[in-house]
Amino acid sequence: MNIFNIIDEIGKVDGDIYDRLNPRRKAMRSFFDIGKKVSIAALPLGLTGLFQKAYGQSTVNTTVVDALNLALTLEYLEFNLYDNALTVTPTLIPDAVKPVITTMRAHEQAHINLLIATITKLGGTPRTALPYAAFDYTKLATTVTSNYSTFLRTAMSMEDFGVRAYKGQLPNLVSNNSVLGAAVQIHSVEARHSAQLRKMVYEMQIATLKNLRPWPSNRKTDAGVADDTNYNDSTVGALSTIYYRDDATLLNAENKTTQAGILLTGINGFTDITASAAAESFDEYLQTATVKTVANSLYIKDPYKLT
Amino acid sequence: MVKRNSEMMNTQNDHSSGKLQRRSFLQLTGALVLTAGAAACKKTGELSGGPQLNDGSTLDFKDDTGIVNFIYALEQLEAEFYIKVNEAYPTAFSTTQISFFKDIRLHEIAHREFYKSFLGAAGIGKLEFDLSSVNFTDASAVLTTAKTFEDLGVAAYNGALMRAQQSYTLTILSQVSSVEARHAAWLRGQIVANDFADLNDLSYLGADATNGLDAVLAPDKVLAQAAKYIKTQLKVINL
Repeated sequence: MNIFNIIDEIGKVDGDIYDRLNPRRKAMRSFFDIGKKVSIAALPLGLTGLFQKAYGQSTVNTTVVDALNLALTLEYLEFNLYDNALTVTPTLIPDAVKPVITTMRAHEQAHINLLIATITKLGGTPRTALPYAAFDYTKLATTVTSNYSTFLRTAMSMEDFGVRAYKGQLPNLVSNNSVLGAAVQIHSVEARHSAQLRKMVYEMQIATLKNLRPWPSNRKTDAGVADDTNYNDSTVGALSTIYYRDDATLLNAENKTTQAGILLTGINGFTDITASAAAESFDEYLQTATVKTVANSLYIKDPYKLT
Repeated sequence: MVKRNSEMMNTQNDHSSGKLQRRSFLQLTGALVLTAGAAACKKTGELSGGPQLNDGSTLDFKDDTGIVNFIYALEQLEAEFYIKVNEAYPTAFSTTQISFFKDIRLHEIAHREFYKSFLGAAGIGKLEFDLSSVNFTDASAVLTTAKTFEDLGVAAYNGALMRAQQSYTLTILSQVSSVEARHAAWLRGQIVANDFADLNDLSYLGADATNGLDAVLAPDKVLAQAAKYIKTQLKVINL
């Protein structure tokens, strides 16, 4: 009997086979007993039990489920803004760009469906659905339902927030290959949303935002002068926490110019890499605690606040 | 690989939560030192040999260094392309297009140089490219090539991210992947109005429109698509 070929064959239909057999998994630990370095030659003797354990019901991975439920909260936040604009205030968005918002709504709906299905499949409980009424979208301005540019800028910062939040959850999914795969694919879709909304705001050439870019940067004046110390290029003070650093210990505001200890400004003699280019070339993450704080303070109403 | 980011997520870098690939499974189970098991491994030639010194063009996917080297290769290609475009923009380019292309050029140079420094001695060398198939005076050709590179970049990063074994690598790569997605979104809109994430169109790169999922491709598939632009012969092992 050739156990490796057996496992290889299973691997062709179940890409997660090696994760299932992971001796670090609690359910599998007794089989491999790493501490005693039990020989794999003994494996075939217990093969039936091995696969029973690998594929049997295991405890719910709360790290993964919690991460997905936080993502689900953000998807409801995004979906409801777009859905309300398209259905409740149909004259808010010009016809020419309605397809853009319609596409974004469809993506968020698909993400909601996928997250619910994935959480359920993992044995977790998807959080309760959040309606439009659970959210406050008026921090930028109360005209979010009546003024197109307010709507657009509100959506833009919301998506900027979503990208940072997804990025912060990725390490929590590293134990599950396929879930991580889906999450990184959602993450880049959200980044595309953010870029598109930023582009649309740029095209409106609104005062103070005339040099906004599809990529978050340090703030630039309408004359094109960069303020390297200003991390909030949305220019909306009330939304600054979206662009600020993760918490007191992490200096990762959106104007950050050093990554992994490597200064990007003027890196390796490339003097045209300015502080703006350095800040733009890397996006920044927000971890769970900061995401919850920002979500509660900017978007989520009582009694729906995250705990 | 250089690891010196004191600002990284230190609480989440838990090795025990790293996901498992075939090779690490075998290592954990002790199979590498088992003579009885060795005969059964004939399907996996990659198990022979120890750590390899990088000869300048080897992408060894046995660990995250190989994944980052793979990304470094693509960033070299992207930087080369935008540097070339910057030498003389197509006359049909708008002021905004020139301005944003200049931004993107700097991002890609920053990425390339970052990975070069990050990888240090473990990095591949400077690759040689062949962009002769691109008509750099034609706006449409430049935009289409840029869009193709950026969408391929998104697919490559997503494929690399899901293979990353360390949270550390995952975070670094994800910080750049979303910037590539921003480039791709903007470029798509320069070609087709209102386009930024046509997931049906992106299905050739692994996107899944039903589930709202962006492009994702395995590294070898990415390299196959980029092959005609990369002159240096890249050696892919342990993928």
